[in-house]
Amino acid sequence: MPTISVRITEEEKRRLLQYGPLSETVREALEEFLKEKKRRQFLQELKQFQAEHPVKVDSDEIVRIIRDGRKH
Amino acid sequence: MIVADSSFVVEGLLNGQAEFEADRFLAPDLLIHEVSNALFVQHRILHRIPDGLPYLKRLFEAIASDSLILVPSSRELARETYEIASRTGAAVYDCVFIALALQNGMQLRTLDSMQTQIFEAEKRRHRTTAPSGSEEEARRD
Repeated sequence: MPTISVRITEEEKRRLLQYGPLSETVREALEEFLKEKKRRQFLQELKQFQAEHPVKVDSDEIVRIIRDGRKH
Repeated sequence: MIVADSSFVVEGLLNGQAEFEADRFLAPDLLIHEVSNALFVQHRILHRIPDGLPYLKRLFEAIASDSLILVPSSRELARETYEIASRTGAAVYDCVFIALALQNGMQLRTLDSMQTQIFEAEKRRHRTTAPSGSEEEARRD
């Protein structure tokens, strides 16, 4: 497993240690960071797609279609 | 995290990504087929969009990016869904989203006001009648 070294302040270290062992906390933080980056990228690409393909569908119509599919 | 109904996701895919900005979302895996069907109707029957497939592709990108997390069916979710449907008379498909939100202590985002009303009523009921851990275990046995 590769190792990375990051310089942080004593204060940052103290704050991170509040949540458990340092390595574990940093790994979890990296995972969260990457998830958020992926999410932001998805939102950006969707925004671009919608700008290139503008449609406006009535919200009530969306509900009606979903409701029709769910009828007993 | 928030539970998203299919109506909310269709709105986000068609009308604006702002719907997805607030948070990450959780939904039962049934959502894929409901959203597909809604896109199909918009494309082939109502002719509001030229093709549904590019939107379906975006749906899978939402899943790949963890913006939308699908929850597979389970016995416990099916049981709670069935109980809500029996109590309220609502369709099982409405109730599975409600059950998922209640199980996880999450809010439900939906465009459907009737589903919102049922969710709010069930949430109140859930708060007042939630069994303790041991009672719940005994029920499962």
